[in-house]
Amino acid sequence: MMSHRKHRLTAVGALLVAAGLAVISFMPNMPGYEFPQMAAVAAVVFAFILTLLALVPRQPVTAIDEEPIPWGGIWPLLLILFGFLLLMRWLGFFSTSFLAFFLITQIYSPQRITCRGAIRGAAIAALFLGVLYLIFVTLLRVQVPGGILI
Amino acid sequence: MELIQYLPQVFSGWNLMILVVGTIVGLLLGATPGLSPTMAVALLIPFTFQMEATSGLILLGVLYTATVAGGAVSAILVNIPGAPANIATMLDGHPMAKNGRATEALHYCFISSGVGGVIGVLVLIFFTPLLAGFALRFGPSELFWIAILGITVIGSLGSTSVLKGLLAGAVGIWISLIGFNPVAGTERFVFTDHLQGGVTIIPALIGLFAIPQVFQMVEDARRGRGGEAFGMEQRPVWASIVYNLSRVRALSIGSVIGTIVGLIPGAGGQIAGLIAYDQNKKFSKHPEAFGKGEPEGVITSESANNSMVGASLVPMLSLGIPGSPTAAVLLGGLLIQGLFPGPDLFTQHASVAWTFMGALLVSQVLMVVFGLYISRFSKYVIRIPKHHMAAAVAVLAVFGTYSVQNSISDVIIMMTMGCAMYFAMRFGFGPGPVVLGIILGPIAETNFLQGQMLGQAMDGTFLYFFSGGINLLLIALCVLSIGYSIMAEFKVRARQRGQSSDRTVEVES
Repeated sequence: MMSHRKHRLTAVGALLVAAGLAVISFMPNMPGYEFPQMAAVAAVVFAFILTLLALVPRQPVTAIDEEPIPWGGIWPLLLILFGFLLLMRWLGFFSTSFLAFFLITQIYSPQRITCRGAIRGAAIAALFLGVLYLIFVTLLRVQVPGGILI
Repeated sequence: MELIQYLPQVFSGWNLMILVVGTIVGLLLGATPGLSPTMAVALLIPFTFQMEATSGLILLGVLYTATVAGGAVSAILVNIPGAPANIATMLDGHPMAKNGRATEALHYCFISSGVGGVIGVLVLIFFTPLLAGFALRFGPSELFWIAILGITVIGSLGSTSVLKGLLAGAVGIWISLIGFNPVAGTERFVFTDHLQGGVTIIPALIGLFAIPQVFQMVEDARRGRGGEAFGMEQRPVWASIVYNLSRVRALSIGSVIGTIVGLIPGAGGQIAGLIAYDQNKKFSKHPEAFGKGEPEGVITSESANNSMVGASLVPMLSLGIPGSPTAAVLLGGLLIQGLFPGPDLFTQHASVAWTFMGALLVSQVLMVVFGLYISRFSKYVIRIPKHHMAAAVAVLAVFGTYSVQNSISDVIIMMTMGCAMYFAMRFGFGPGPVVLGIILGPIAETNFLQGQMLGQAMDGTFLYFFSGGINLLLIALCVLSIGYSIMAEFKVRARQRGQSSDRTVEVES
């Protein structure tokens, strides 16, 4: 029963997103918006049928393929990725990448965090980024965001 | 024949090195659980940007071939398919490994992949120029309908729900239209400075495929999934080759079904492997052995999913309709190099097209050789912890995206789209249709606008788009593909409902 309710919520959510796209596409009364309007209308039609099939019958006709979002597990990664974007321009790409790599491996390691594990994680991060630096920056001269560090 | 004319270029120093390195890297990436071929190709596209078009395409094509074959390693050894295409391999490959026949299963996997791969590439070589020649008759209206057909087939077959696939495809088209109108030059939907250049292919590809995978890998790492591995027995390669090649029926069923499925845009490798497996089981004298470690199960499914690779590139190179999600990413790589699918590819850029196809043929042989050699080291690759893989993929995604245009905006777009896709995936939406919408959206719009102008100058826009044999055929194919998928989905749902009501009756009685 719970999954049916979530399925219906997904359908209604999709309809709202599609309707949002349609509103944005039809608001400016200018030439050059015809194709986005067609795409938005198509999205609304598909979302509407999805909603209809999910809401009207007692048991939804469409496949129930939703999974719960594991917030408890993913919020540290979301923070790390957000922090990556913020710090990259200030610290530099390699320093930020080192921090992100190290934090991901430590937070998501199935083992408990220990001093030895942290040193090992830092060494792996340094090795991975060292190889990346050597191949792409030194040999292939690829540009990376710079900052107060590298 | 052009293939022989351009074959020496395949063996020129740089291209040969790319072939060898690409094959080894592809096999290792494919063997790593959680790294799908689509994601591997998407992650490496930025690095081909600075290469010559031929070399860049060879690298992507070889990676596609090798990652699909390499994906069988984790399917056999840890019961986690390296790619969706390897699901059928898992059914008998893993029981073989459990029975102490891991090396044997890996041998069959690479030999069958090589046989199927060669057949798929031969189909690519002979069919693509013919189909591309046919595409010469296409004007803006036909090209518009082809783009729509591409979106409908992937939209229909790329997700569990047809409607969700089509909705995701429509949203993908809408996202691709952010930026400037290609004809009027009007600026559209630029809500922030970061969107001024629009949403380009690379940030979209990397974000949509790599970032959700990072989330999935950390989730798996937190739950302690994966890590189980088997010992590898000693077995002479020659014995495996003789046995494998003697299974003519299994190889034929796999290769033929894989090729047919590959030619149908959007069907994808997982379907090829599963259909071939099912057919071989039906024709077998001992179907009860399937699922318990029957070598023919591995042989059929692997020959099917690798013959699909070459065949899936036929509609992509000739018409611009990708045969699989990875082919869609390859289409992005082609467009980035300034090459457009169709007849021009085989006339103006003949050396690129034929060298690429020749390289794919050679890569099948290299894949068998290196696959058989490195299969004994596979157990080390699959032991890489998921949290280390997740960290490496996250860093590579940022690095790859930034390096193309040195743009932080691209990185922000990549990250935003990736996170949004992860959440959308939890609600049953797949990244394949969105990516295809982003790639084919601008093609559809440009041809729509050109067709509109032509139509106004002729008998009217409606008549221009809805008349003519090819237009009507393409419209019929669009309707057919959506209709068929909707019917298939309803059938599956009806069967599921029937099964659940049967269970209820059993419980009540």
